[in-house]
Amino acid sequence: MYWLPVLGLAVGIGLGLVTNVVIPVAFTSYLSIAILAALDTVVGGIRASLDKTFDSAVFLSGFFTNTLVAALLAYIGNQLGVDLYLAAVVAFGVRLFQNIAVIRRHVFTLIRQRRVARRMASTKD
Amino acid sequence: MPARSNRSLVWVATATVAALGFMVTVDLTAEAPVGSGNTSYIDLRTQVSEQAQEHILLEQQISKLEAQLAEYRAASGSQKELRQVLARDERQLAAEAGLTPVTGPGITITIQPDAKLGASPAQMALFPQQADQWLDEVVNVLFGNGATAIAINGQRLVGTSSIRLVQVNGIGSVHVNGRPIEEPYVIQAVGNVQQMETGLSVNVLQGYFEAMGEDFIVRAYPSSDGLTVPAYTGPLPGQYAKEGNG
Repeated sequence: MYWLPVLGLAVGIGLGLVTNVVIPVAFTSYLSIAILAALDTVVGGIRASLDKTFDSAVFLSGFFTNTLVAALLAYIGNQLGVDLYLAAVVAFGVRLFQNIAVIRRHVFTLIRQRRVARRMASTKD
Repeated sequence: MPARSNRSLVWVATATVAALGFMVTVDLTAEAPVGSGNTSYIDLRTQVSEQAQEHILLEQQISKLEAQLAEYRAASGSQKELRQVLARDERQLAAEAGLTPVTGPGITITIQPDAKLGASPAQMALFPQQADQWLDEVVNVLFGNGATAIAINGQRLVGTSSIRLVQVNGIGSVHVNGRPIEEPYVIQAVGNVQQMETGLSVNVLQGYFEAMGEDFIVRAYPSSDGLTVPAYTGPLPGQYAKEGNG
């Protein structure tokens, strides 16, 4: 079952290449910030799963909402002449790195727990 | 319950990763703006800012060029005025040099032999031998007493004019401006009528002429268009003389 996300990624990339969707040049910056928001949500989801607090409904709604709101925020900022784009970049960027740091610690903790478990198993034997 | 949760996590992760992959692919394959490799919002803003600055510089350049154009137009206008002034000066100089006819109040002096004056043949023979000198004398008196333009038998006197008696063996005539004139000599003078008449009287010229058997008839034309002295038509000094370098 764990190969499914990899397949999903391949399908997504394939769809992107096959459909050949053309994004107007003016909207490419909005798509970029939307991708950043999506990445933030995905990393947040991984962290939540490691924290055992993952909720698929929250994750899915967060993924699409964050993506759309980030793009909308960038668009509004552009219309108003305010760099809300940068605000979104900073906010999502900071959260992204924080989540990655938490995930890293979780991974280290898991690795250490496994080592301890292995040693304890070897001492029992 | 954990197995169900894991399954849902996998499906959700699959869906989101597929969506993310699609978005990233679309973003990477999006066409860059023509003439630039930058699609970033900040880069675009920078380009707009640069273009705005360039626009300001070009506008400044346009205003400078417009000012220069206005200056050239003004200079062209003043050149026209300068030409008008020069033309006016030329006309004035031409009038002063005697190259234009002059009309105004003046006098005419008619000098002609008159037997009734009772001069002896010897006295009457004197004037034809000295005619140029006497005409010269009259002209000097007139110029010295308010005459501004003088002509003798239609020959306008200018700065280079000459009054000469050209005779060979008693045969010949007076030449004015190199052209022969015959009696009666009619001297036309435009200027201050009263002053000229006074000058002639003071110099007793009429008496001298009558002593030589010549009439010296002075007629006054005091009105503003009383007399017209013709223009000089002979060669000008500049025809031969050229400006030197040193």
